[in-house]
Amino acid sequence: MAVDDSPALLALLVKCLKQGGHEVVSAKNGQEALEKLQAHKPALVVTDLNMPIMSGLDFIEAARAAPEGQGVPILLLTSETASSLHDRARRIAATGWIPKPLDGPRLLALVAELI
Amino acid sequence: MDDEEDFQALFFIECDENLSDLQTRLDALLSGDRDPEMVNAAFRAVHSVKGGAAAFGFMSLVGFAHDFETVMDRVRSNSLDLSPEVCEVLLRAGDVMIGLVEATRQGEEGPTERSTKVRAQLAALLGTEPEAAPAPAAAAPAAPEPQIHEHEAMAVTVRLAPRKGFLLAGFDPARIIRAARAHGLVSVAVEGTVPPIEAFDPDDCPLAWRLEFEIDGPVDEVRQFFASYAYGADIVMTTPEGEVELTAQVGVLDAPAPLTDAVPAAAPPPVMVQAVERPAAPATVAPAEGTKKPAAAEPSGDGAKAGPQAAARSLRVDLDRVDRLVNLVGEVLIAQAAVAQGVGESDATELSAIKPLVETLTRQTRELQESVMSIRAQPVRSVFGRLPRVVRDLADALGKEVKLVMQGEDVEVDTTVIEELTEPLMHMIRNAMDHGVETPQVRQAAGKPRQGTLILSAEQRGGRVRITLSDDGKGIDRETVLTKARAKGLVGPDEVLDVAAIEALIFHPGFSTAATVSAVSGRGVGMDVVRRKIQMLSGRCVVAGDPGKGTTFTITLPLTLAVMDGMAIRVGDQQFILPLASVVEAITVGPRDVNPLPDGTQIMKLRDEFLPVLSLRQALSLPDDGPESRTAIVVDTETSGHVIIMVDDLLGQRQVVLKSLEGNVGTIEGVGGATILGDGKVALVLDIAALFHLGPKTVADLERMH
Repeated sequence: MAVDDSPALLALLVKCLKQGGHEVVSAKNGQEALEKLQAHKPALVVTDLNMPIMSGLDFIEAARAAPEGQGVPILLLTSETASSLHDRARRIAATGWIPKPLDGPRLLALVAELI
Repeated sequence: MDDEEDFQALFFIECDENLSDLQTRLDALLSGDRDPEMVNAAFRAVHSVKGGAAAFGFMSLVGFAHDFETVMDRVRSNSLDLSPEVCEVLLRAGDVMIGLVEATRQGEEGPTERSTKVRAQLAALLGTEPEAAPAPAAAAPAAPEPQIHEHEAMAVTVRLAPRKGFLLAGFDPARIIRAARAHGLVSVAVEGTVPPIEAFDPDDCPLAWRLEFEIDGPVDEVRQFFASYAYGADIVMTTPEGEVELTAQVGVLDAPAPLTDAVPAAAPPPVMVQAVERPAAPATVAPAEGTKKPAAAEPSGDGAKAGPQAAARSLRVDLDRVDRLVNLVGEVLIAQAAVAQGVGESDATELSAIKPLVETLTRQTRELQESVMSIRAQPVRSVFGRLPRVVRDLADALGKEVKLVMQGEDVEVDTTVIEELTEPLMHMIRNAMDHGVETPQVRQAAGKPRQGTLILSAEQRGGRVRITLSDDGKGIDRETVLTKARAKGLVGPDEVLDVAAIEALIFHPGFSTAATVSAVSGRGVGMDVVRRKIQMLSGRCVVAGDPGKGTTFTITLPLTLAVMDGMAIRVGDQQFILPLASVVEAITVGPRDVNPLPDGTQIMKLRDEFLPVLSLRQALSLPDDGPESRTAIVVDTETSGHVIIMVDDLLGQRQVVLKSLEGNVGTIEGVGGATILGDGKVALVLDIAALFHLGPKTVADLERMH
């Protein structure tokens, strides 16, 4: 599942994942992602960090509390490097982060490693 | 990627939205709004642009946005006070962002002089804090040590101790071990013990793994491999040279380095001085809050909360599709009018039963049309929103203190009108600030507050929108205007003009009362352009000045350009439509009222005023054989005053759907468009002002059309 509030980046992300032969569900924010997580049970989630309604971190926190979200690798897509962010991400069991700009082959390699 | 260009186009559209949103938020912050959600929204807007720019590799945009965002983040976390100086820098940064995005869109990526300067100011804001420096970027060295890149077998040990949440995060130790084989794993040992069942936490992984590798490739490969898991586990990697640092991240290890470029470590003092020097404007805006509140409170209040929700519930549709829909509804409207007319005129008894149905249809068609037109409608806020910045910049340039108060930003107008409105509004604001509002010294001497006030308001009146811009400046100096007009030969030496006529002179092409031509206005084109542009939109533009107290410009515009109220007239066997807005009155003309002039034109005296007369039959080269026409219409051309046109008959008022001719027969002077009447016939919509200036060739063109 790909989650991003920017349609352009979401499209880019979806396209990249599809090129890797994955079926992709997309969501525009954490709230929607949470609903789709329960409905579609994706094998892996790549989510943007800053989104309206529900941010990436809040989504991960909520996902880990739900039975569907436990054990699903969730990658944060962000260009932030602040250590406080990553401390929190780690605490709420985010699986990892991918820096922007999105490097397609790297993302696919990583996804292949995780699922 | 083949459709990367599409994504980029989409990115730029988003940028526009984000930046316009940012502008609104920053303006709200500047006017004293301290709603945390406002700061958040502004932060998000910058962040979104940065994210997108990073994805497409527009690094100079990313670099700038990063600093901007860092400052916003400080504000957000309350570690940077939102003082007027800070606001000012943020506003400038917003402007620079717009410039950078535009440059990037044009393919001219790269920092500009201005962006570098403002970036330094942003850095200066961060510099005031001890731990300010671009820490994140600086903390991202972690470049792989080159000396370990030796291609010979090397013994490497990795100890992987999962943290709590390792399994929850979707990591699977068995998978890791399996995958590690590809990197030269030779042995695995488990450390730790599984606790008794009562102490067992399924989320926790009490075991650690010791993995021994024999590597003959670059050690970095293994490092990369384990970096993927560093988020969920403590990983210690030991090579013969010692411990290798594993950055807790996934994927690429080189953090977005360009973020640091061009950030001066220490802020140059002159920049700071400049930032401090400027607060005059924002500081004086603050008291304006009281007056502004009634109009501005609403958007800042629920706008902030409704914003994201509203965005989620909206749909982006190509304007072409909407236009197609509008066109189709126009056709339906015409067909419906034909049915209504047919049924209405018929006496057949079997039709009387469907008359109420036709009435319902008429009403519903009208509703349908209104709903469709409302899709194209936009609040004038999208134009108004850019103006506070214009006012600020101008106030700086002119050394004046001016605050802008806006009202009625929610009034909705057709997209086309909105697009065309920006330029005239800018001209009007420039004019008001240059010629209307006095310098603070002059104002003080006149017993006025130092700061001038511009009030820009929009309101809907029937099918039209009225926009007024009033200032509390010196008003229009009628003496100067008249003297100047006489000197330029615009007014005869003995001609006596009433107040309104004198004031209207400022719209005359080539008129300018500014003693010196300034960069802002005063080239004598401004107000002329405004009037022409407004007329092109079927609008009117008037000015009223109160010497010493101020000037008020009023523009009235149709809410939409696609539907127009028209007056149907008949000339020969042809029907034409005149825009109702330009019709002043209908008169009956006696046989001897019209006097021919030597140059072949005709004039007629109407209430002590000589007006030019145009016979539509002649102008359109229609057969001039019918009985002499007795009916005439006085039309306000707005450029050459009132004129009289002779017609054969007045058919009455019609609401018509305008169809462009350009796509079918090209632009024809004298004709503003065409419409289809209820009886299915095509009628041309006349542009009388242009008709009066027609050369013979264009008349011939018109003739060919008939």
